Amino acid sequence: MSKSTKTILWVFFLIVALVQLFPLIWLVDFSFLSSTEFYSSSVLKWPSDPQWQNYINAWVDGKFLRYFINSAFVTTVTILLTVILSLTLGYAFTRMQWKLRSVFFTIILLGIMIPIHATLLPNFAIFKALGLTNSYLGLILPYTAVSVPLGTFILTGFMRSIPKAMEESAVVDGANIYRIVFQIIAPLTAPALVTVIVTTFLNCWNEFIMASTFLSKDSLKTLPFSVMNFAGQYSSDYGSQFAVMVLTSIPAIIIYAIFNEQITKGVTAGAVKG
Amino acid sequence: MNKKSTRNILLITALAAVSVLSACGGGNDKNNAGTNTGGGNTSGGNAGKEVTLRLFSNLPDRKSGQGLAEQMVIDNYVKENPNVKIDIETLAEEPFKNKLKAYMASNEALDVTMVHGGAELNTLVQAGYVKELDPKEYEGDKYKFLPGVYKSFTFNDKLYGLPRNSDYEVIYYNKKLFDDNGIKIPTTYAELLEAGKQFRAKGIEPMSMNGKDLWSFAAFFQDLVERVSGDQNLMLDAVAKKKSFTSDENFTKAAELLAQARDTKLFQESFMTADYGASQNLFTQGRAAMWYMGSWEAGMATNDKLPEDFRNNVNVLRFPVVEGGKGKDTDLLAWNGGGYSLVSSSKHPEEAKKFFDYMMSADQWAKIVWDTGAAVPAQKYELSGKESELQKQLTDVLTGATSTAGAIALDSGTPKFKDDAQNVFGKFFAGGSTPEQLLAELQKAAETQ
Repeated sequence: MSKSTKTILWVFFLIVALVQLFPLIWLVDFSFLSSTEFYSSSVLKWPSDPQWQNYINAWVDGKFLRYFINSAFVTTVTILLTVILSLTLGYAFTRMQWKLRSVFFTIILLGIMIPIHATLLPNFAIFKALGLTNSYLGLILPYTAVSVPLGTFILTGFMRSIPKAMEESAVVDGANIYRIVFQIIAPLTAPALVTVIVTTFLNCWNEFIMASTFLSKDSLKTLPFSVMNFAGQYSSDYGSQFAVMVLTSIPAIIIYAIFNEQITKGVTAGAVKG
Repeated sequence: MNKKSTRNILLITALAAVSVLSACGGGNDKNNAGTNTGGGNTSGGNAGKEVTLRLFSNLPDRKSGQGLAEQMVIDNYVKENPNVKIDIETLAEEPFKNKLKAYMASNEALDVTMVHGGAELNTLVQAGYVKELDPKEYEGDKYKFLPGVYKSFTFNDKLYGLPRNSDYEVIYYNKKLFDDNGIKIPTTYAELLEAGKQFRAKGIEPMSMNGKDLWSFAAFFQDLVERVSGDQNLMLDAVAKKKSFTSDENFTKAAELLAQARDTKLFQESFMTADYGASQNLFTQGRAAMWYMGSWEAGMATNDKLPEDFRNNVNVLRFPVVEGGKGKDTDLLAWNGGGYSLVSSSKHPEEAKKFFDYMMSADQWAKIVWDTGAAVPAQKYELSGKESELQKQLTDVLTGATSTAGAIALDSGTPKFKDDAQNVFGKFFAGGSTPEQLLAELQKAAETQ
């Protein structure tokens, strides 16, 4: 590659990177403004007087720590359940021969298409009857139910690309089914599993509608409620809301940065049969 | 054999995990309830049963505005009644409405809930979810409700809730911008449009509008309809299908006037993408001369976060009269939107009623919102002498009103009508449909609600 082509490529990528990073810069920038400084004519406005108070508000009035712990707990359990269920389901749909296999596969995949809004009221009634409203389980169950279809979809695609010979040799060596799934298949599907983990994480971390319907107790609320603590009936304390959003997005950014490479692998893996 | 037993073990552990988790959730519940009453006990020491009341409200921000006022009332009550604990659940407007529906459907045992008057409250009434109130109890000096404020809370001549605010639409304006540019403060609609043109020529946005929220357009139109016809009920009747949007020439005239506002660019640039906060900031930063908004913004003049120059210059204007119209500028588009109701499935009906009555008495909610400038109450309030100029002007507008609408047309139909009608206005301003199309589509929205 000639030097000039290289420079052009570099400039191009730098521009792309800037465009990608801009929302984050904007988010941080605005978290230091006071609410009355918003909506000025400039896109970015470097605060003359940074409002650190916004972060104090976010931490104290936004009850950040309490909600953060709840979010972290709910999300972790949901991810664990989703991974175990999607992995085993995926294996059952790709490798096992059983009656009604395709029927159940279709039913699971239908889950991708169901809008959560339609499930809110019936779920609320059922959860209330079971005493699951105002409990962590009241969030973990629906979150898992929503995440498993997509997880299964990704994993089945990936598993089809794994040569059967691997399992055959494992069977010859005397491995039983659980060993095959958790010790042979699981490590092989690692990139796809990471994709499942990250998408599930993002969905749960940002989810608000179900949480607002199923929870009413303050001690159980999740992070999106924190943003709402600064919403008035007509206008809101935007500065503090932005501060909450900065704090909320930090874990998401960290997770994405760690698994970044594997996510890209996971998305394309299984696209071409190996 | 081996295979089977492992599978069984796995199944059992899975089941056990689920049951442990659910037990956890349930247990938590009881624990918390226990500590709640326990906590009340130690701080109480007073006669009277320990009670935890549940209040559901649409004011999540407890540190400013109406949320703060609500919190102050609650704090006052708990101080006077240490045996009572009040559990507040708050959600912002849209999630609030959704959850209230869920609560209604499952007959959740709330004690007091915030309600929106009109169609939304009617749904709750028909489901039997809220209690009937006796208007006689709320007469007299303790409550001091203004006449006619029960309108959106009354169904079949029975009262189901009490309003918390008097909401009415005015035009806020920045006096300095008018003076500096030598522009006359408008008293007629033609002058308003003319002032708009002059401001635009000077590069100042004439009127700030929260176009994205859409409801302001409908209020603006209702104001115009009244100014043309002199009839506060005309638009409400049309929504109730007693009159027709398409056959009454008052509507045609009003729609044409509305089109003039659009075509002479009275509203700021890209007003369709501005939400409430954006339209407010444009005005409070002195970049727009006027703001079409409700009486609940009385606190602007005392909000020390806003520029001082602005605070000293913000004033109130009545919606201008229309040339040849029958309406007066003292006819006010006022309504009582929000309020509180008692819930029928309440577990502590007596305590709930006590708290409700306390909250609605004139020296609590009404006094506090007025003193903090969070809103204009639906009750008579004493001027404390510390009012800002803006608050005094707003009081004049309300007490000087010769007639009031009692309801905002958008909220007097079903929620579906509100949705449809808002979209019709959105289409009118963004897509540029004609006045005739606007009226035809409003008529359709009224018929299919």
